[in-house]
Formats: sequence, structure tokens, C-alpha cells
Amino acid sequence: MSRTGAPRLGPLHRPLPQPPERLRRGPLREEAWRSPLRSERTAALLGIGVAVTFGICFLTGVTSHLAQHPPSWLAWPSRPVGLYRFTQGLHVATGFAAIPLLLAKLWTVYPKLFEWPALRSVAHAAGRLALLALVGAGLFQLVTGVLNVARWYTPMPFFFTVAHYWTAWIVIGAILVHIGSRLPVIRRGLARTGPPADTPSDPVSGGLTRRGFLTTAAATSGVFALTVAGQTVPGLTPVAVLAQRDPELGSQGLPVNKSAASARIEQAALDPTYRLVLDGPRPSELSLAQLRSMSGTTVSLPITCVEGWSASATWTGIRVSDLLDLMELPADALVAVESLQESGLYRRSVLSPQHSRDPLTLLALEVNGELLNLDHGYPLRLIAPNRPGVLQTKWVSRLQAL
Amino acid sequence: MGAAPNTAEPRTLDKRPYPPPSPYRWAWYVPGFLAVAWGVYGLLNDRQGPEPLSYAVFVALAIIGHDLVLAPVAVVAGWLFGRVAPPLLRAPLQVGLFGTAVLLLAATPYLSGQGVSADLPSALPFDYSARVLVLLAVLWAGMLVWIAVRFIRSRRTAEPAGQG
Repeated sequence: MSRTGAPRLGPLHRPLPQPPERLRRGPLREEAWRSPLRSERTAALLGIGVAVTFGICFLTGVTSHLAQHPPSWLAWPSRPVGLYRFTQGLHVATGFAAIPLLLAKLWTVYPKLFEWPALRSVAHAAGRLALLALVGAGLFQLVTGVLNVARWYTPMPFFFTVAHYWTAWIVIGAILVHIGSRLPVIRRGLARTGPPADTPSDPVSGGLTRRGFLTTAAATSGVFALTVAGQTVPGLTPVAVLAQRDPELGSQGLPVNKSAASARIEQAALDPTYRLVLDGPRPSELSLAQLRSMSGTTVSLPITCVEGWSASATWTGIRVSDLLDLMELPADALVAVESLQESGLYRRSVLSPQHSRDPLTLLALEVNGELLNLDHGYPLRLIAPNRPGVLQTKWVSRLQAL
Repeated sequence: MGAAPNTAEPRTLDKRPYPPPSPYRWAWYVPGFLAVAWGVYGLLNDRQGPEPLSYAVFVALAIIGHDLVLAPVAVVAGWLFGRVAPPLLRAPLQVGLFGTAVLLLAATPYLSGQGVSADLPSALPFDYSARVLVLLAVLWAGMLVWIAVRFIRSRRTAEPAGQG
């Protein structure tokens, strides 16, 4: 600011040529937008709601990513048993809760799409481009998230997990930039200093007040969270409207995520010459009869899917640590668990010592008191505490020292 | 009634001038830009990353779908109901329509049945249309109760001496 109070305009802020005023019609006129619900305050409060929900989704989402792709410097822990179930359930429920909040926020600031002139200066144009990225990335996350939970993959001609993960960084960064650019307006919007001069103090007669509008957005958000939480919280299943699963519904009392038919392992799994190959310092092979005689440990562990649902079950089988001792695997070594599946992203998962040496980690032969059926991973499936479902390898055929 | 709007100066939603930018904004810009850059880098370099064109089309359709379809419909509907609906009904209609629109939007993938597959009966096992209808019925029942309450209140204030 110069001494006279007039701002010094750098090259980025110098005004660009403006279109003629007579083109300013319809929604481009300031007076066209009169709803008292559109205010700095409602925009700021809804913005906080969007930032909080997206922030929770970002943290729980990165957690999920790290659980599935642990970097060499991070060992994803095996306890608490239900940690991943909690973070992923929270991720999906919060994502759904964000939908009404984002839509209400976009409605509130919609007149800004028609601001005049459209491009005031270079700085202004850059700001509008940043907003485009914010809105685009935010909508991308919510739309792909819902499509994935609803298992409708056709509209997504890309790997959902990869695109959704990287876009999360874009949207959270865009939110930070947006907040930075709006700090003074946010502060002013949140301050209770009485009604601003040009805005009517009463709502449109009989219409929603600002408080009513915010309450509606918040209540809808809460309802959305409840309607999806039923896929992981059994008590809420009767009110589940947007849930992918009933955690207590499925063959052997448990939902299935990859059928034996689609994995094409039926022949290999039922083959009488099936062996579990232990590929380590002391290699060996175990037949089904030997595996059955070794089986006897029973644990209670949940299966948790990235779509946010989870279900508990009791599993009976062989401790993986016992098998690793049989292989004479060093205590700090990694082991790969391979499936009979010949192709597929998740035919192989890696166990770090946190999980492989945990006494709750089993190669299970039975679930809920019955022999595993083909859909649930017959003859053997991996079950470990605090582990994403895609890494609980089914139709296990081999343990390989790494 | 204030002075004629100054088209040269940008104004906020409250039709007030923008305050000067905060000196702390760079504490938000730097991590923000880094995060965006990391996300873009990942999208472009991940082996299983999306085809840039497919990704861009998806984002463009989402933005167009909201900015040029959904939002205009909401704005026009709001304007229309504002003209046509009596004051008694306005707020309940706003809430009911907001809830209905957002629910139907989010439920569309489930209602389409596109995710159901014959070899996975435990996936998407609910009768989604029935559940959505029940939820909408609860919502509108609530709106009717609200309208009734408003009606009773308006009668009371209209005839304070005669009614109790």
C-alpha cells in the first residue's frame, strides 16, 4: 500500500481490458443474485464443513494407501486389530457426509461463476484457475468414491485406487491454497459483528433462514453418514440406504468380494495334488491332509474392504509364524503370500514381520465353524489383524521368503 | 438503498469490498502448491495412472454436470418456487427439495443396479429403491408436520384474542 492508501498494482494485478458493460446481462448482473442465504458467513461455515470432511478423508485415505503399499521406512502395525476397519469405515462415511456439504457450498458461491469482469487481471485469472482445480478435484473425489462403493466401474476408464489417491493430494492442496487466499474474508464471515449493510436482515418471507440452511446441510450430511455406516456397523444395517454390504450377509455368514468363478481357480483349488509350497531357507511342501492336522488355532478377526465395509468372523487354521519357523525364515525377514490365481493385482501380498509373527495371523482352513468354501478361499486363505481385505490373500498356494 | 454497484471493484457475497490479502497466506500457499504438485506428479508418473485424456474428460464432465446442469436447475427451481409457493410452504419445500435432490443424486448408482453381479450376491444386496422411497417418505412426512406447525402458529398470531 502506498502512503495515499491506493494500492500499488504490480504486473499481475494490472487490470486487463474489460468487455463492454452492455454485455452484462442475466446472471452476470450483481442484482440478479438476491438470496440472503448466500453470505460470507454461510460460505465460510460450509467451507469449514467441506474442509473438515475432506481433511478426515485425506488422513484416513492416506492411511489406507500406506496400509496397502507400505514404504520401506514404515511398518504398518498389526495392532489394534480393528484400526483399519475404523479408519476405512470413517473414510467412506465421511466421504458421503461431504456430498451435501460440498453441494451446499457450491450453491452458495455459484454467483461467483458469473463475476464481472470474468478476468480482472493475471492474478485474478490464476485464482480462478485454481478454483477450477479445487472444484474439479473435489467433485472427482466424491463422484469416483460413490461410483466405487456402488461398484459401477464403467464410467471410470482408469484404475480407481490410483486416480483417487493422487487426486486426494490435489484437492487437499487446492483447499489449503483456497483458505490462504480467503483468510480475511473467512475471518470477517465468522465474526459476529451484526448484519452487513447491504444485505436484508430478514430472510425471504417464509423461506429458510441462514441458520436453517446450515442446519439442513449439516443434518443431510449426518443422515448420509448414517445411511452408509450400516455396511460396517451391524446395528445400523436396517437404515443403510447407500451401503454396499450387509456385514452379516453372505455365504458362511460373511460377504465375499472376489468369487472363485471370477478368479478362475476352481480346478486348481480342488486338485487332489494341491500342495502349500514353503519356499524358504528350508523348503518343503505340505499336503492338504498335513495342513488339516496342523490346523487348530482359532481367532476372531474382521475382514475389511476399502469400500468401507467390514465383517467379523472366527477363523481356524495354522499360525503363519509356525510355518515360517518350519521354513527357518529369519525373524526380521519379509514373506510373500501367493495365490492360485494366475493373474490379478492382488494375487500376491507381502507380510512384514509385524504381521507374519503376530500370533493372530493365520492361514485359515475354516471360517465360522465350517470348512472354507471356494468363494472364501478354499483350501487356505490368509487372515491377519489390522490388514486391508485385498491383502488377505485367498487360495494360498505358496509362502516365499523375500 | 446504497449507491449504484461499482463494477470496477470486486465484491464478496455480502456485496462488501474484499479486504486486503493476509500476510499469512503464504503459509497456506506453499504446502498447498506442493501437495497439488505431488498429486499431479503422481497422476502423470504412476505406472497404473490414468490416461490423461480420460481423466480430463471425467473432471470436465463433473464440472459441467454441476455448473451447467445441476446448479442451474437448483437456481431456477428456487426462483420458481419462490414465486409460486405461499410463504407457509417455502422453508419446508426448500429443505424437502434439497434433501430429495441430494439423496437421489447420491443413490443413482445404486438405483441403476449397474454394480450388481450374478457371481457376488452379497454385494449390493439391499432393495435400494424401496429404501430410498422409505427415506424420502420420512423426509416429506417431517416436512408435512413442519407445515402443520407453521400453519397452527400463523393462525395463533393472526387471532391472538379469540384462540387459545
